[in-house]
Amino acid sequence: MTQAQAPSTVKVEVGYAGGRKGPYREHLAPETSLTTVRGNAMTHFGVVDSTDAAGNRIVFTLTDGNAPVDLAKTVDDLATGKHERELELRLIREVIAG
Amino acid sequence: MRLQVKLAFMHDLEEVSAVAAEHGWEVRSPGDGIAEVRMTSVIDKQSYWLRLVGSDYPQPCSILPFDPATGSTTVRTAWPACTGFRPTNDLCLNLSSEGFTLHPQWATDLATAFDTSGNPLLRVLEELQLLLNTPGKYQGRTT
Repeated sequence: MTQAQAPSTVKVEVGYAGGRKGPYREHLAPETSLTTVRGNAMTHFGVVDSTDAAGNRIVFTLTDGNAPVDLAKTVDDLATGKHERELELRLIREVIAG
Repeated sequence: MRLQVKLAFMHDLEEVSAVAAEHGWEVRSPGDGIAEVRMTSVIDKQSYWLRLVGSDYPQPCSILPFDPATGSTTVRTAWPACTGFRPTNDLCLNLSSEGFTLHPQWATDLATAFDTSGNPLLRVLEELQLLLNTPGKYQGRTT
């Protein structure tokens, strides 16, 4: 008797509308944290969190369906129940108000 | 409107239209260099229409909420009570032409300067959607 096995990796794609190149794509181990995904995607797009002259923090938020993800979770946490365990995430910069 | 500006805006608007359903947006273009987008806050399900005019695209667009019944930007209830939104006046944010006019220092600070790479129209819309979805920054409809 055979049992269905969960895939050993999760396909992750992160898009950024301000990017000069296409999405960050990787097959990641299920235990990979979303903090790591955010960092990898930011490196891919060449963006960094920063602070402006007025001291405002400008951070890039990793989102899933227009909502920020919990960076303490893993890709497996987020992929559970999704179609073919694929994640399509977005990187969005937070804006500064005057 | 210069042809180059018009073509760049149209190109990026096509991509916005292609992903609108994923974001829950309704998108229309009533004229060259103009996009009207309806977006909804996940917090209270209130929807707002935003008019973006890209007279110097890909430089920042003018962005103003408007009343869909009259087209007026001076109807207070058409505006969200949200960080950076100053009802019936402007969006004082580092993504609108009005914001950069009010704060010219933003343009010379690498942290706040307007980035024209990629698809600035889509990027700005995603940033606005995130703002409307963020508790503490969005407080509902202006009364």
